[in-house]
Amino acid sequence: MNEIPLPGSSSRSLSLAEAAIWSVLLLVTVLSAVTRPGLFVDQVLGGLVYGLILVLIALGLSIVLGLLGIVNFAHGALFMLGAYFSYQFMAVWGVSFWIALIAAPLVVGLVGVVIERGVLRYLYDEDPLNGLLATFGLSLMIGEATRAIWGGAPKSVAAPQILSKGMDLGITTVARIRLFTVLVAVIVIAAVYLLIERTDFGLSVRAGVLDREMAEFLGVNMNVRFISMFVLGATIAGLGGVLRGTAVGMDVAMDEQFIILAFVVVVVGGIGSLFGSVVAGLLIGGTAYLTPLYLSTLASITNIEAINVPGIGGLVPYLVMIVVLLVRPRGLFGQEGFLE
Amino acid sequence: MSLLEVAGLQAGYETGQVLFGVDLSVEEDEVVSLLGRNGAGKTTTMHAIVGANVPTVLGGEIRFDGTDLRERRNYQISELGLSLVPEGRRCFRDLTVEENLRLAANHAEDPLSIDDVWDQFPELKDMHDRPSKNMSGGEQQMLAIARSLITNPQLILMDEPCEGLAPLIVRRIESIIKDINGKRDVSVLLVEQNVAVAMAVAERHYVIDEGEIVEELSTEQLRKDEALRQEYLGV
Repeated sequence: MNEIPLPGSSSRSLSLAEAAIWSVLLLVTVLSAVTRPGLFVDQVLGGLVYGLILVLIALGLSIVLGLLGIVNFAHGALFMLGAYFSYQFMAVWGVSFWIALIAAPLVVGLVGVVIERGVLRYLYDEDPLNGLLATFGLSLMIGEATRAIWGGAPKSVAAPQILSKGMDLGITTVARIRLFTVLVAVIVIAAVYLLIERTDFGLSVRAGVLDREMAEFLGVNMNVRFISMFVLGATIAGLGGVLRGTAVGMDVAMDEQFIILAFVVVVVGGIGSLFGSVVAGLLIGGTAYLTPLYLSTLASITNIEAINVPGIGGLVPYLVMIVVLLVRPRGLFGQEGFLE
Repeated sequence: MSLLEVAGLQAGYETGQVLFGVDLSVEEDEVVSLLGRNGAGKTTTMHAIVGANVPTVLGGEIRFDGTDLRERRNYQISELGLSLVPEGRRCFRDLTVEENLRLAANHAEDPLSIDDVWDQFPELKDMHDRPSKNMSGGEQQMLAIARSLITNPQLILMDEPCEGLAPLIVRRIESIIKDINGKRDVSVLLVEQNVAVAMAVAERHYVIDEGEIVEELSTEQLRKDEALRQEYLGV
């Protein structure tokens, strides 16, 4: 098989066309940052927050796919439940944000236990299509249940005072809840990394991904690990939901909106690579937020208004996916041979 | 009572039954071989003993150290002191040598220390942080054996450990098997197609054909019985 180099890897020299693309990108970045610094910082932070929320969802998806071989379509519903549970805790029961921040994800984890024990465990050795259909059904059921319990209208919760204020950076004002989201997401991602790469538990999980039966012959009870990792993924998705719900509110469409993009992140990052998911999440969040700004900067300096395509931000994640898969079907950090 | 006692074992796959009543036993501190052609039922016997996902055990008894293995799940055999060096080695390819060993030690009742393993396999110590996928076939085989040994088992089942290896490496594997048995009193049930390897390390031999044990003989008898080797083993 031909080794396809990573984009930007040092093993090959930059061709003229690539050099041109990179310099144009750099130029537009500098121009955008200089002409509209406030907006630039807003968009960078917006992309970072959006990307990290995607990573929080994609981590669980990637774990479940790698370990259980199941494409868990219900994962976005768990994310949405995180948001609605925090609404239930804070707006209905009047519990503080800080308690809801911990409790809502844990309740989502419990829902994860029910899903794993009630449905998924019967599908481990089945055709992957069965898992996809079953979890798609679950996602519809959870979506309709959410609509029935909390109604179809968008809901929002009030962030605690310390997070609801803005932080004045001089050129722009940044909502503290967004900075808090970045902080929490980074801590969670680092913790998952350490769990998988540095602990004995993580070692047995990695072995189980590579050869489940051999790990069992060596005494690893894989079922216990399957449940733990599924619940961990569900809890993290729920946490993402709480953060997203607190920052921008929630509605019943957030499930599908985010699950599709989280799949894009997993595929772009490379199936089975947690690190790839992190990189891809940031890449997609960043490009989705910066592309509109860059195009509008280009339009204003060239005076060609047609460059400024409205709504391009929503399209960018899919364009990124198409380009990555054309160049490197296994995804940025995927296993050799997967999808190739 | 034997350490491993298999009686009337019947097993098969979705495509049909493969074992039609296998009887064999392994005593403590003994090296025994199970010989047979491709498709005779050697690997099926091994997998039935350790409770692999396939084949399905249809009948018979499998007892290890008095425990009924058919009542045990596949992740419960290691704690009894039974370990498998599987066909194709099955090292965890993205894990390093040391991680492969640590994983096995973590889940054993009374594991050896990693230094004990390094003493036995100095060549593995030199590549302790190498992912096992970047090792040669012989090195991977040593790792697979070391991974079993570190669990401090009473019996190791080895499925064609010398398959596809160069003669020099085969000699090394043979001496490792003798060492494991001689120094650590571990019993070995060795599945082989290579009669020379089996005769070099094992004292007693079973010959399996079409899912049944057709002969049980000593190394001396096996050496003399050219007709039998011709008929069942093609050598």
